[in-house]
Amino acid sequence: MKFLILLPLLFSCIPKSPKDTPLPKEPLVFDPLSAHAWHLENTGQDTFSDGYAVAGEDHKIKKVHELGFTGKGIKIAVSDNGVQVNHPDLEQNQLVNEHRNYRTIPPYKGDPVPEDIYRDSHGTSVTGLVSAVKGNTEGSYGVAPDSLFAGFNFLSLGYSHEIFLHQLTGDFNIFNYSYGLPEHLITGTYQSEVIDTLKQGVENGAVYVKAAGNGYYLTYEGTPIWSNANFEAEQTLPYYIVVGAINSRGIKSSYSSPGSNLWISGAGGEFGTSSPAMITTDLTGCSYGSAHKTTGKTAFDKGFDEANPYCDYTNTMNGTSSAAPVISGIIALMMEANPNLTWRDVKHILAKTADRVDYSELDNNLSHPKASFNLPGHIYDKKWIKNHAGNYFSNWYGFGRANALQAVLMASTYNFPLGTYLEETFTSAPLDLGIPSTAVGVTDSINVSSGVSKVESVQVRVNLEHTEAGDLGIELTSPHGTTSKLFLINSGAIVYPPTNNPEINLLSNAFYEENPQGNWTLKIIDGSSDHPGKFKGWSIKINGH
Amino acid sequence: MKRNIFIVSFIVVMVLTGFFFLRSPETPSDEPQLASHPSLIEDQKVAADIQTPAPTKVDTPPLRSPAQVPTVPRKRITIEKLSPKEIEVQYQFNENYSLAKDIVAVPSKNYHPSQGPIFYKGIGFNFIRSSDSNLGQQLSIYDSKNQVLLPLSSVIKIANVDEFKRDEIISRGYKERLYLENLNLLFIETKISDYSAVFDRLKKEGFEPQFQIIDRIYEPR
Repeated sequence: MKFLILLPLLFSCIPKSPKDTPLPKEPLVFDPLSAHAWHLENTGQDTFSDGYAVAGEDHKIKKVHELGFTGKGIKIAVSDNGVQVNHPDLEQNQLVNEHRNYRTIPPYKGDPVPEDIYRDSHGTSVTGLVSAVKGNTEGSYGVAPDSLFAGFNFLSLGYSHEIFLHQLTGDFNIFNYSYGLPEHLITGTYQSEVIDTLKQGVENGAVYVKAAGNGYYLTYEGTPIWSNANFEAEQTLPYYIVVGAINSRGIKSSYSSPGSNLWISGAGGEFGTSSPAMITTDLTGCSYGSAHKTTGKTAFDKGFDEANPYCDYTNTMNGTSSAAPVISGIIALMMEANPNLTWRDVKHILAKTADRVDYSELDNNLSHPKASFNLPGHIYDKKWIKNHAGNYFSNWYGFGRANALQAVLMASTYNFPLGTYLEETFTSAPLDLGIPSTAVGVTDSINVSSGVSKVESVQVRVNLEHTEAGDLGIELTSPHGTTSKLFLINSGAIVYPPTNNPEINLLSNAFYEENPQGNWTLKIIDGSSDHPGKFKGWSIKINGH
Repeated sequence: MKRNIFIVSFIVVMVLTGFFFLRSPETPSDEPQLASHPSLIEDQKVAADIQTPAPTKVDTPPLRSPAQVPTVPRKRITIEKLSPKEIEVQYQFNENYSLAKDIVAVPSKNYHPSQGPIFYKGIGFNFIRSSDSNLGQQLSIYDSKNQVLLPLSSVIKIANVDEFKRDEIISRGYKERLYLENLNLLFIETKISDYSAVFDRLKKEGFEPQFQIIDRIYEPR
């Protein structure tokens, strides 16, 4: 009967469930969902969708990690609709004292709790893409898995100008903004205080990353609208790195807004149902967030898949909201490789090392998605253009898909070639020119004689008299003959606040490194003859060195 | 004795066999290292739901650590200390315009009738009255004659304006929209197309301008 005394000891050795099993240490240094993160390394995985990625179409992030760069010590502010900072895959990388709860009083210190704790998972998913912990046996890991994040719940309350400005400030290397104004609106004007705050931020070493928008096609009250990243005036400020989304097959995500103000493209995926979206963190538990036992859009999100039994992760996160933190993470890797990089250096390296995706000389002209909205003799847009300085640029991709490996390698040996930054403005005389509904349109030129020898970006401010500015197409041609389409015809977008005399601010990165001296020509075309309008004047701002 | 040895040996064999089948893989693979038995998964899901029960309080996030429960008050503190009613009564500034408090702009696509009736329908936004202190407490100008809520991006609020400063500002050509004596707030009107310039000029002249925009709502992308 003595063996009976040993029975409890013997049975205590039997593992109760795999979760309780004391696994060997080595295999545990593994994040089980990372194999499904196609943006880290694209092996052709399905990411729990019905479709497949195309192997190799990624940012080469895993290779950067293998070199030992993980964004260590880089501080990232994620200003969003709140973050579950104690998510098991995030908690370790949080800057505990840097979070901001904008529902309290200044200085807004506190837990960035979402407004709707059942549904507002966006900020938690965004944060996971950039800063989720690596090697903790939980979920996947971020692009910069050793970076440190602070969550702001800026989007969890009605707009306040004071708070908007406040969330642009702080001791952070990178600010990630996966938000924007409604894409059906043309909000042509920004506030000077925003410029001042952003300028101060970049001078202090910050880099601002902003989601371009998901308005390639949308409907507003039954009206089709083809949005443009240039519609949101604040995105026409050069201090932001505006990010478009690319999918797991290496082409523009179906929803990603085009725009001459795009700088770079990051992984955003599609929708996670018929083709891969992004794997990232979600509010924990099956009653919260996108991964929800009843409202989840996929078996994975409903917690039906054994890989996600607690619904702590989602496979349906997408959008330029996803692309922005992927780029923020890549910038963190670059800044770890070279802590002296400024916002302009970061932009330069991203542009110079990006992969030119989806390029074909034979298939470069784009038509308006709605055939009847094209204008005879007018090319709606071009997928890629090559400027006089030899740089390729696309309204769909900016300079292309970020190549983290090449960017980090260039950052490591960077010799800081950019000279002193200058911004110079040139203004036209008052105009009163009718805008014809033909491919010829109406043009005006401004002669630029500038201290800038290499353009970094060009801003344009256009004054119009028009009741339907969403009909218009606006193009800018440099002295060297490079043409950038700033506004595409017949977008259907609405000027807001409503006015018949809109002042529209636009930006183009297409002229990067061109010499700006000479005549710049602005051309305006009316895509519809239904609402005649006038071109009242314009100014051009040359930014560069 | 032999019988006991046999039984012990039998148990040891069973234990080792059980351990062999239940142990986890020793090398990492692409497959998640989670239970593969459906019923076990179901149990874990139930456990997960039990772990995070549906909260009864709105301000309780799905937290795992009690230390993360916010201790700060959710109510926003605003500089206007008067109640909405007091302000509306005190500051009727002409027969057409009134100061509207507790007006909230809700993006049209997010609006639900349960939030209350629409006070004014803007482009992309429905304006509703709300007593939610987190969302309300914002000043708006309501043109009762034309039944419209004026776009507040055309209104600049200037803080710390006493009667003397008020006269000074108006004498420079700015058009007064509203003056709140008790709060030392002056609202001026400007053309939408040049409000940035006006704002810059006011700042250079040493005043404290602030934009009043409640129809600008940023959304996650």
